[in-house]
Amino acid sequence: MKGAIMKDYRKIVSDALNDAVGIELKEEQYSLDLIENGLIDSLAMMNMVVRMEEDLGKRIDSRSFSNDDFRSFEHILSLISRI
Amino acid sequence: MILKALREQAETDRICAVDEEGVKLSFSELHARSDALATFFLETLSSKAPVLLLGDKENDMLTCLFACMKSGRAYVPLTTSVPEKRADFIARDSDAELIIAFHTELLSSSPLKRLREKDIEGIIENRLGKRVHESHWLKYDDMLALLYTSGSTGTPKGVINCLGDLENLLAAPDIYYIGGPGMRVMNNFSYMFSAHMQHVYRTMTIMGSQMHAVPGDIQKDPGRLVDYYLKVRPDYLGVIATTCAMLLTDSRFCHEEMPELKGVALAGEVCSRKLIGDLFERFPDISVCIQYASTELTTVAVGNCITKEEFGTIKTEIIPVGRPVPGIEACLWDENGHEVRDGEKGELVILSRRLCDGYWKNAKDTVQAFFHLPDGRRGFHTRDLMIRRDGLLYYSGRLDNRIKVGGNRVELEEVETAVSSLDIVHQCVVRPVTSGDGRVNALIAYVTMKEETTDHLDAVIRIKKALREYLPLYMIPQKIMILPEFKTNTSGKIDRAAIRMFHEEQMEKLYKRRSESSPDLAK
Repeated sequence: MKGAIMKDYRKIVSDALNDAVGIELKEEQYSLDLIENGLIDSLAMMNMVVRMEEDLGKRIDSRSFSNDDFRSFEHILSLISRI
Repeated sequence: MILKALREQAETDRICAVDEEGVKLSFSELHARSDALATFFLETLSSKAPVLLLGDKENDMLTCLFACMKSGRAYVPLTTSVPEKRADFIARDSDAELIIAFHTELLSSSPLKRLREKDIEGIIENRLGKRVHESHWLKYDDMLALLYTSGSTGTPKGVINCLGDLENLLAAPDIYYIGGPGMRVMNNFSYMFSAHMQHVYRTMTIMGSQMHAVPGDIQKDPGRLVDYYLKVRPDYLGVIATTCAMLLTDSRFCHEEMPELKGVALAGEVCSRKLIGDLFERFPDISVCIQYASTELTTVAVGNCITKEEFGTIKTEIIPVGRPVPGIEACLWDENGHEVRDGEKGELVILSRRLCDGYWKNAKDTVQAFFHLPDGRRGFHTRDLMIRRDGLLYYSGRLDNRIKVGGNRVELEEVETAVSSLDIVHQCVVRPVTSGDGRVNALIAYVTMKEETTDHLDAVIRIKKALREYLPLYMIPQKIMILPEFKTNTSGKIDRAAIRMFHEEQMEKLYKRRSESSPDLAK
C-alpha cells in the first residue's frame, strides 16, 4: 500500500514538473538541484503548487513549505508526502 | 510641490520609512540627509547627468531620490538582481555620471565614479545642517527619473518621467491611493518600477504614511512575506495580483491575524473575480483599490475602489479597472482613431495635460506612442484593449506582444532576442501561458537548436543558465520546449501563425489533462 502511494506521489510531482517547467526526470536525476540549475523559479513553484493541489485534492498552505522544499524532485516528493 | 511637501512633513515628528531591520527614518532626517547629499552633488558633479542608483529598499535610497531632486538631476534606479550586462547597457545608455551602490558589486568594473553606502554616510555626516536653495531644485519640466523597461527591439527601453508628470498623482482624491498620516504601508514595489512614484511621492510624502521596506528576496517567498507582515502589522498593502494570490495560500493572511489592515491596492495585472472574492472572504471590512498605470503614465490613470458590498454587485468575471482619475481622459479608439461605442473593444488612449516625455534616445517609438492635441494636452497609445460599460473600463487584452509576468512588464521580442542570441540556439519563439482569468502564469520558449540534441534536460539547463547573464530572472521563460524545427512560410521565415496554433494545442492538452486528473478542483 505504502509503495503504491509513493508511486502516485512520484507521478504527481512528475506531472507538476512537466506542466510547470516542461522537463521529465529519470530516477537517477531525482537529486538534481532544480533551483541552482535555474529550472525552477518562484512563479514555477506557485504553478507546481496549484497543479499538485488539484492532483492531491487538498490545499497546500504556504506555511507548510519553503523555497528549499522545491530544491530537487526528492525534496518535493518529501514535501507532498508529509502534508 | 513634492519637495515643499517633504519640508512640511519634516516639521512633524512622523517616521517616513522603516527598513527590514527596523531602523527608522523620520521625515526631518530624510529632509536633512537629502539636503546634505544634494549639497555634495552640487559641489562635486560637473553636469546635470542622471545618477544611477543600485539598491533595494534601503532607507538611504530615499535620501538619494530626494537628493537628486534637490540638486536638479534625475535618478536611474536599478535593483541589484539585474544581470551585469543589462546593468552595463543601462549605465551607458542613460549617460549617468555617478553610481551609488548599496550592498552590491554590480557594475564594479564600470569606469563611472562610484559611491558606496559607507561613502554616503560620511558625505552626509560632513554636511548635515546645510540647506539647498530652491533655485537648485528640479524644475517642473525636468526629468525626474529614467525608468528602464523591457524593450521590443531586444534591449531595455528608457522611459522619461518628468517632475511635472506627478501632477495627476497630486490632484487625485485619496480613494485612488492607499495610506494616511502615520499609517503603516508595506513598500512592496521596486524603485525600478513606476509604482514607486505613487508610494514614495503620494503615499509617503503627500499623505504622510510610514513605508515599511519589503526586500526583494522576502517578496518572492510567501511564508516569509506573511511572517514579515505579521511583524509590521500594516494598515495598507500595495501588491500585484500574483503576490496577492500567493499571500492567499497562507491561512494567516486573514483579518483575525491582521486586524489593522484597512485597504489593499492591486496594480500591474488583471484582477479576477475569484481573487477579489477570496480577498474579501479573508478581510471582509477592507477596501480594495484597483489601479491601472504604466511606466509611461507615471501615476495611476484609471482606478476603482471597492468594498465587499460593492463587489457583490459586480457580475463580470474580470473586475473593472475603473474610471479615469481627475486630470485624465480615457478614450477607447478603433484603428482609425474613432471612439468606439459602449460595449465595443477599443485601444485605451490616455489624454492629459501631463504625460511622460517619451522614450530616451528613441524618437521613433516616442512618435508612435505619443501625440499632441491642439488644446495643449498630450496623448498616449497604451496598446491595451478595453471595453467600456456603464462608464467603467474592463481590460480585454493587448494590441502587441507586451505582457505582464508576475506583475513585471515583458516584451516577448526581447526574450526571443536574448534566447536566439545564445550560441547553442538556432531560433526561438516565446509565448505566454495564461490562466482562465487572463493572468500570465508563465512564459514558454519554443526553441530549435543549432546542433541536434538528445539530452533535452542538459540543453534546457544550459539555456537557462546562459540567460541569467542577459535577462532579469522574471524574463527567463519558466518552460523551454525544444523542437526539431519550426515550420516556415514561403519567404523562409518562421511561420508564427503555425507556432501560435501549436502553442494553443499544447495549452488545450494541458488544461484537458488537468480537468481529467481532477474534475472538481480544475473548474
